[in-house]
Amino acid sequence: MGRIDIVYGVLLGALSLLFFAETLSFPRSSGGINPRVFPLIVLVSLLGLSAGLAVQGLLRARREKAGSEPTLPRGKTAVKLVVLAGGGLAYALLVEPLGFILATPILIALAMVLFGERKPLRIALVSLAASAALYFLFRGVFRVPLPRSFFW
Amino acid sequence: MAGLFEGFAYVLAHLHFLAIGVVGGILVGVIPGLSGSTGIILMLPFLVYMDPSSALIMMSGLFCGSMYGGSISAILISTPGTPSAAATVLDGYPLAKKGYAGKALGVATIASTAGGIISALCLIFLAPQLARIALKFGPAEYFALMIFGLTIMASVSASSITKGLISGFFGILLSLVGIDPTLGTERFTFGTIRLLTGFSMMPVLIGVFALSEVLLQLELYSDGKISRIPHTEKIGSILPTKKELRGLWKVILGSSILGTIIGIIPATGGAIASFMAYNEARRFSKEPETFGTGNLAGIAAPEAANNGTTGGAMVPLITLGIPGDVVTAVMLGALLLIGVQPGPLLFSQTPHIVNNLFAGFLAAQFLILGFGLLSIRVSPLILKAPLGILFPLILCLCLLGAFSLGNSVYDVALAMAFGVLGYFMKKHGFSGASLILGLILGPIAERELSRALILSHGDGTVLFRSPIALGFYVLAALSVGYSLMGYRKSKKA
Repeated sequence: MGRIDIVYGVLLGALSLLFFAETLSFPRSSGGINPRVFPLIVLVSLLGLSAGLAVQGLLRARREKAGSEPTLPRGKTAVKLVVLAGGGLAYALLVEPLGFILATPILIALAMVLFGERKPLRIALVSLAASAALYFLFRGVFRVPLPRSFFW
Repeated sequence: MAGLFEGFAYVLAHLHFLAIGVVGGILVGVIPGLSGSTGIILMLPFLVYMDPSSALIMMSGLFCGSMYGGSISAILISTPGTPSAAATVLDGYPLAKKGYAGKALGVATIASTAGGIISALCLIFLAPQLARIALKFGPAEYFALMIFGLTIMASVSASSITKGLISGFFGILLSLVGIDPTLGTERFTFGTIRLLTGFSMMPVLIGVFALSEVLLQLELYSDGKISRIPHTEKIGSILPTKKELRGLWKVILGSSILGTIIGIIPATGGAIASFMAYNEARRFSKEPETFGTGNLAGIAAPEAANNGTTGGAMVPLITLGIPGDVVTAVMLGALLLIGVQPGPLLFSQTPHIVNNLFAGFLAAQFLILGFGLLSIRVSPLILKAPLGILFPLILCLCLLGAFSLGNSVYDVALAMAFGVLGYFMKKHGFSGASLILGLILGPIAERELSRALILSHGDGTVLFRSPIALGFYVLAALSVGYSLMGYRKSKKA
């Protein structure tokens, strides 16, 4: 875990510094209170903790043998995770132009394939039935205006 | 007391919501990889459309049901459905292997019910007293209380105190984005109009807790670490004999009280309570050598204790607005989304909501007994739910849930982005619960700090003058010290 902690420490430290610089542009005092105080308490704490994490990571990385690091997902697993996360983001982008009824079965079918479902009929039936049930529940019962497209 | 009777009348009229909560809780508790917090997130899209009392009783039913449900998979397949059921594996699974799975589940159900009833009584009698004291708090005391609450984030972290605190402060940092509450000016938006409203609670909750879990389960599945649920043992007879029950009542009563007390202490929770109760039951047993081989007391003790923590954990949540563990942290977020602000004012301004919660919480325990005993024979089927269908549906429900509150596809993308963030957080030992605590308690701490400073004309010493505030600072220091000691101990071991 050592090396990954160094990465997190550096990233969070950089983020804190970015926010810190922004805080300095806030007005100094207004009506008896200083709007910088609370953000600065938070950012200084986060900066200190990030530095602490990086140092801890550095010390741990020296003790750890090469290859003992808990790995990030690799190969097929990494591809599946990227496809699922990307599928979710693509759903957010496409659900309005495609409409709920078209976009949702595609997302469910994609996720089912990633989770190892191989029977096409089962994938088609489940994704269509689940989408229809969710449409009925959200649109019919909760009156949520789900996205509708030119097609539907 | 009249209010409580009105509460029972309300619960009777809305029993279906409580039943859905309990059954939903048992289901998410049974399935390894899902937990009470995920269950509440999955129900969020529905909860926001319900009246606050119904939503609250449904959530409390789910909380208690999930705590019990974890024992089913612990006993049948030696895999605790929730961390709180880990101690139940020790004697539950050996007894199931001997062909007495039904009896093990029956004892777990009875003990869980007893633990839940005792903790519900504690909630009913203790919470109003604590709320009465909390009504006297001013801004300085509230600020100190929030500091105490924020230090809890260090303790609920799974991996290290540094990562727990970082997660919490990162949550506060997220809460700062948007509009400054005192001046009304924009801050940390970096010129992005979308960020003016800050990060909404719903997509963050859904992403960090539920979508991250879908990604983690996909990784486990892809790496071959989970496939099909293994063969489950025979069920056999369900109810323990009268003689067996007579031998268990002391263990159940003692463990229930222990669990309730531990539940009240923030940052403890069901896992700690169940192991402590298991150890105590073995210490006081006449045959300690039989523990680990299928002793009924080894099932009753952890189950009574972990369900005992539920009512205890609700005490600081509803009286002070301070959650004590992961599930109550998620519940706090859900309460704010449905328009219920936990704290002492809840008792004085909307006592009917509190009474409905009390009645619902107590009634949930009897539903657990009923549904628990009825579901014992079908529980192996629940364990065989196909993951290839379950998790895609959870993914879809989560994204729809994120969309439903603001009818915004931006929230869907935000939920997915926080899902990825939550995945890396869980994978590398950061705490999602701490992040949520920071996101919720940060703005309250900032508001109370501003109020205290305005009232004292900018004199910062006002924060340290009140003995109650000082008491909270001491508790905060103790909380961090305790976590630090626990972390060092676990490193040595």
